[in-house]
Amino acid sequence: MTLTLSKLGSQLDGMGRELAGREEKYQQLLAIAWQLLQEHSDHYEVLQKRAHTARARKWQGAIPADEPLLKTHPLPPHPPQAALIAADGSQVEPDRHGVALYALVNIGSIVFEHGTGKRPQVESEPHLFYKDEDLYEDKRLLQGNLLDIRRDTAELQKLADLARAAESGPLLTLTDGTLLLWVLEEAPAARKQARLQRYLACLDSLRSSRAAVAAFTSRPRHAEVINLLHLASLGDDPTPEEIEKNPLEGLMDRALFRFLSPGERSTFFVSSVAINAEYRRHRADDEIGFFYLNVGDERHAEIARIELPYWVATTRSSYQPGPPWAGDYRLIDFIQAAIYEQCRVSRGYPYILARAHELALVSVEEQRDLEMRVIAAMARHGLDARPSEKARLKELTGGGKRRYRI
Amino acid sequence: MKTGVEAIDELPPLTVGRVLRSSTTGFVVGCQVMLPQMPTFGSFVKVHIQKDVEAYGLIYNVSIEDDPLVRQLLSSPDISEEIIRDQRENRQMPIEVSVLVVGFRAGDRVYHYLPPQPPPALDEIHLCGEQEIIAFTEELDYLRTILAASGDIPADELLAASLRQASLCRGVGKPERDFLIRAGRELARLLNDDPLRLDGLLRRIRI
Repeated sequence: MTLTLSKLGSQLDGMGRELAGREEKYQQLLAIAWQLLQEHSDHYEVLQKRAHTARARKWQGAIPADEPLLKTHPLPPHPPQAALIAADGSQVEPDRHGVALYALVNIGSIVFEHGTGKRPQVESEPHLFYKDEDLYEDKRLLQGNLLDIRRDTAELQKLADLARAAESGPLLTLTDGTLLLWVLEEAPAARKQARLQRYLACLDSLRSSRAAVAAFTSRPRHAEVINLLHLASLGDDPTPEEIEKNPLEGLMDRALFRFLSPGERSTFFVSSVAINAEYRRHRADDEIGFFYLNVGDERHAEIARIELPYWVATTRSSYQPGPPWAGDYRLIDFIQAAIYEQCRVSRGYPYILARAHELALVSVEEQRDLEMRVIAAMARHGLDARPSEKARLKELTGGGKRRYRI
Repeated sequence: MKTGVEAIDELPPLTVGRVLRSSTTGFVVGCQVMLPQMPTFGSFVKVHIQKDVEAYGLIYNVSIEDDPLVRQLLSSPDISEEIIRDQRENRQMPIEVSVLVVGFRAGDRVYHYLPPQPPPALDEIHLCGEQEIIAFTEELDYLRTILAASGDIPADELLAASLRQASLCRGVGKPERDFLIRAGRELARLLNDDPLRLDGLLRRIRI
């Protein structure tokens, strides 16, 4: 035990004071943002143009759809039967001090057939990367962002495979987090394209399965609508400096959308982050957009961000059995109803995502077992496997530090 | 008292779980299993203590531990059939299995008294095979250990369950009946001052 909590007393007090002061400031900013939202709600066409112009200058914000910004959509009915598929991944980063260099991505998935009474199909699928061509990209070790992308693509690939096998009818595929591979923004162009194309190919496959593709972010920290409101407050042709200097900075979209009733969603916005232009280049309606949804209850508003490709937001599908789902329906309505229903049973986070996460998780014990298996496999082939002296010493002092995604 | 172990079962032993905490008189096993594979009350189990020494015990309690996700689901107004089936059939439930130690084996000899040491934590617990159960119950001195068990242990139910299991291992019909008659006689001897308890026990093991 090296953390002396008694020495942190004054620092913790300072932290409490700082947070209280910040909260007060945010309340004032929120009042300004709310005022702007009401003023500009109906000017969405003007704002669309302004946002597109600003986007060309690397502005990152929300581009409104053809609806007032304040437009809300009440909770639509849930189809009596629907296939809901979720996938989540966890990874074990390569450890330079371990017995050998390898990385692991473990994908957990669940196929949940709502309204059928069937036992959901669950699966955990591990992928081990140990060959040089798998472990290195442009001579960079597969870790951090590189491994994140590998995991995100494996999640989407799993959803695509499961969606292909699903029976007809409403079909939702859900992942945790984002559909935007923003981590690729800094990658060299050639590599970026190769990785992006793999990801987009999975989205194409989901599209051909007529899946309602969505990603769920709990407690989102995005401020794209806030940035749009700042843009709205400026003149018709704002300078880059004016755009840059945002007095609403620090405020988050989710604070603004707390006015949504349980089950209600905001209007749809397209994200203007740079990587989204690559999605649009692939196909015009592949751009990723989002809406905010209150997945809480009457006592506590819980605002989640739901991301979906533009084509999902604009697609109607048809489903035969029984009213009120006879005839056609909008995929975006189905997403809203299905995610809200999923969150209702497990309080603010979709049940299927919680299960997929549980199925993906690699525990510390399992990680140790894996290391033992690696040692055994190496020994079978005449190799003497041992961890570095640093790793051995850390194990002895109990400070073995390994990273797991939780 | 001793008995030779004549045969080792052909099948590899079924693992119940690993020792969570232990003493010489009993131990608790923690494991995560699917519900259909849950260990059953009264089963004979064994655990390694030291080289060539194994303790034998009887499962006297199986409890499902609190699970945060299940707890949260309970607060939900209505839970769908799919979720209930997912929880029951797909998820591994954390369970605790309590075992009463009734004897041990050292080399090929069986002893019906407590082993010299408790099993170490994290050691694997296996279900005993038929031949092991038959060998262990050739003599019935372990019944005294169960009758004397205190605390939360449902001694009479446990004793009856162990005898029913040991009789079934010997084959339906005469072997089963002969064993139970022998066990009944032993109980009559042990409980000659408590006819009511004896009557209750004999009723529980009647074929």
